[in-house]
Amino acid sequence: MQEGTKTTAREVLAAAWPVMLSYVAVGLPCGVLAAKAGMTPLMNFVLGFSFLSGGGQFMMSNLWLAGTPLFSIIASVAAISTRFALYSASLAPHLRRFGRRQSLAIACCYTEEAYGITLSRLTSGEAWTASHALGLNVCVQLTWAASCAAGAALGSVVDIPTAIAGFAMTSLFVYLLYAQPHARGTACAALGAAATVALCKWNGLGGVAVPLAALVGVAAGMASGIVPRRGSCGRPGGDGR
Amino acid sequence: MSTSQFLVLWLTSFAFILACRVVPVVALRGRPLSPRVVEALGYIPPAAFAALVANDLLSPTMFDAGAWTGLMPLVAAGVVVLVAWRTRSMLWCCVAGVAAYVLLSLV
Repeated sequence: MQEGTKTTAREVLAAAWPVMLSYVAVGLPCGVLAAKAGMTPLMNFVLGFSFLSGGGQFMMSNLWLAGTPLFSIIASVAAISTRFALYSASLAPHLRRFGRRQSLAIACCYTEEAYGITLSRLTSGEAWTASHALGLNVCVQLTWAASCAAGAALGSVVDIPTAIAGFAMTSLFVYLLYAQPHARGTACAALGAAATVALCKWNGLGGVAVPLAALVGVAAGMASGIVPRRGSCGRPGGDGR
Repeated sequence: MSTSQFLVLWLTSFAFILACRVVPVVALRGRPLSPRVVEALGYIPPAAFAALVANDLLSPTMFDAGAWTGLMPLVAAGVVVLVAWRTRSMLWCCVAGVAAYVLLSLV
């Protein structure tokens, strides 16, 4: 192996190992839950390697176990997957320094954590090449897929209560929600979405609760920018974001 | 879940998320988005995550087995928020959340 390649590999692993460790911890319960929903270790590996969204994978299993129709599962997973469009939109200006093929390869296989690392390295002006970004993606991608498959294999021989395995996902979502900007618009979007879920579930519309709530949440966030903040009338920058 | 049901779920979800990942990179090479679109896109993650948290924690039957059974996941989620505030670590949030859930369910 050439010295340059070795250095790149070392730099990639230095950035990747904390993410890889956390993926093992989250991927195992994700696989256990998927096994309870009837997915084999191979299915888990294929899904984990290509889909690359822990939230979406947990959601598939949880909704399947709750008896949600397949179409509603697909719609709900699609609703939460749209956030990747936002990530790609923010990443796009920084990928211009790479070739078109390299940019597409990076965009195809990043996870949320790899996106965060690559974006911060590119914006800070560090020597982060397309090889670094792709190497990071592949490391965390393989770790995630292998952890999910191992969890599914484990889940078929060890009886881990679904509620406990599922709460790893809830914790992941709580963390991701907490990691959003702490602003009035964000709070309105979150509260609007949570209230919509409650309304839907209490009125027998649980199957469409998540995608509908995401749309209402976005509308609530946008509306919060129209309503002036108390005491901020006529003041610029009073939009709460 | 049968193999055919898995294939439908996997292929549709994979195609959709792949489009979400790739289309903005292709479409935005050298082109900015309007501020209103950027603002709306920015509200998708908090709305989606809040909806998912609420979907997991709230249910019309949550208090059927007693007040504590219904409140316990909410308390465990509160523990996760505290850990997120202190550590900002996804790993510790997941570990603390599951540990809190297991310990509180023993009460």
